[in-house]
Amino acid sequence: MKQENGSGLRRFCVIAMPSLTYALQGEALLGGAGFPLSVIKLPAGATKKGCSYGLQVECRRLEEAVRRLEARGIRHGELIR
Amino acid sequence: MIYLDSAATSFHRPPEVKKALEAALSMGNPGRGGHRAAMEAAKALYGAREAFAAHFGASPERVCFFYNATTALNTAVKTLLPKGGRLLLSDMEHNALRRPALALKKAGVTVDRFNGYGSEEEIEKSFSEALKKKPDLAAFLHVSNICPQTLPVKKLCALARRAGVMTVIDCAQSGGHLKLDLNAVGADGFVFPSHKGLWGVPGAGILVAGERAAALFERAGTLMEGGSGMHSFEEGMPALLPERLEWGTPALPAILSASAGLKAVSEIGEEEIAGKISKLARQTAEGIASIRGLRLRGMEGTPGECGPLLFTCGGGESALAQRLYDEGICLREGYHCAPWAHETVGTEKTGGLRVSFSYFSTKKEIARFLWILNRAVESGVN
Repeated sequence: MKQENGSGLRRFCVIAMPSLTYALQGEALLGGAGFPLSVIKLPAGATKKGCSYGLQVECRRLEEAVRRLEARGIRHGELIR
Repeated sequence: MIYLDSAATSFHRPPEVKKALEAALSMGNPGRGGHRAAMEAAKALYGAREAFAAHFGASPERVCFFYNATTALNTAVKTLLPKGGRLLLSDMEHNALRRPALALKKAGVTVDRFNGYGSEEEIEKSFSEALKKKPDLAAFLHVSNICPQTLPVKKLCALARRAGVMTVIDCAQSGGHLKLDLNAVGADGFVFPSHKGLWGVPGAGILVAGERAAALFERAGTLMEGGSGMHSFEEGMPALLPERLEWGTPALPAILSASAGLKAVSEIGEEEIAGKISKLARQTAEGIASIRGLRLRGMEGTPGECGPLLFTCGGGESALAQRLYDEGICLREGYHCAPWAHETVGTEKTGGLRVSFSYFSTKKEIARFLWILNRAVESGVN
């Protein structure tokens, strides 16, 4: 996923979350730590289970974001690069 | 009009509750879609989870919203109890726990009762005896809904924990009035209605689950199923709390109003709230005791700071209540959905007139109520 930010293209990755509550919990944690991110509804068909939510973060900070979530015990799903 | 029926529902609510309720009317459906209106609603709902979690000592995903405290209690008891298990209740329970227990009994669950009325020592002794029968779950109220009896929940939860028994506390009459923290009390779950001491509107029940109960909720089957806004192709409810227990559209207006009410409660402080209610109750009790022919009931146990008062008049309770209604006094007579409690305090034949208070009740209102009550009794209405 690529988006224009004025100074060039930024690549965004998505951390699929097990529920909207966990996505919002992740947003509170990462947003509080200064991560630029947003909660998004994953496109239909992104998972076999049906609708789900994810955290959209810059790809370059994906690993760090995942580390922070795991350190706080916030469960997450697959990483969509 | 003088409102003295806060044990049934709040009547006076702070302005921030009304503001939160109005804001909820212009929101989408939380968790149903990714558009702005739905996401704003989802964030507001999550903010309420965070507020309840922070106040009552849990993490946000362990705050589950239902449609009233009864639904939350039914879910907790019927999910946490194994098939053919053993359930322990007090003999002071409201029908919110009594009726589910009696229904479970018909389905093969063994139901025991401990004495929830008396001194703390008597209650602890009775509870300890009952624990010897190895219940799977103990569910009991914190404060009676008919009289000021308050159960020593911290001590009871410690006893239960030592015996390896889970505890769920019905905090319908104590939430917002007494300071409650899941870890400090040592309970596995608290249940609150949105519309009593939390000052929200009716329509929501809140279950705050401890870690041990949350893990069991995620392993056990579900009591009801329905839309969850996610994983639509799955046959069952989502695996994790809170969505596992939240079937259908959440009652956003009630939840957000209660969350705003909780914030107002926090700003005032439960100590201040209980202190004021306690003073009003003392003024009322002294006044009732001074009126010839009236008898306060349910006072022989362990009166706490925030419970209601119950009185009888030796027959004609309904007529007396009707006279008070006619004079603009809003109290409640009858059995208050708590037949066991009336049997326990000895009012099963007459029921009683219940007076219950809120932080917004005033000394002047109590004085006026007592004057009207005295006049009604003197005129021989009963």
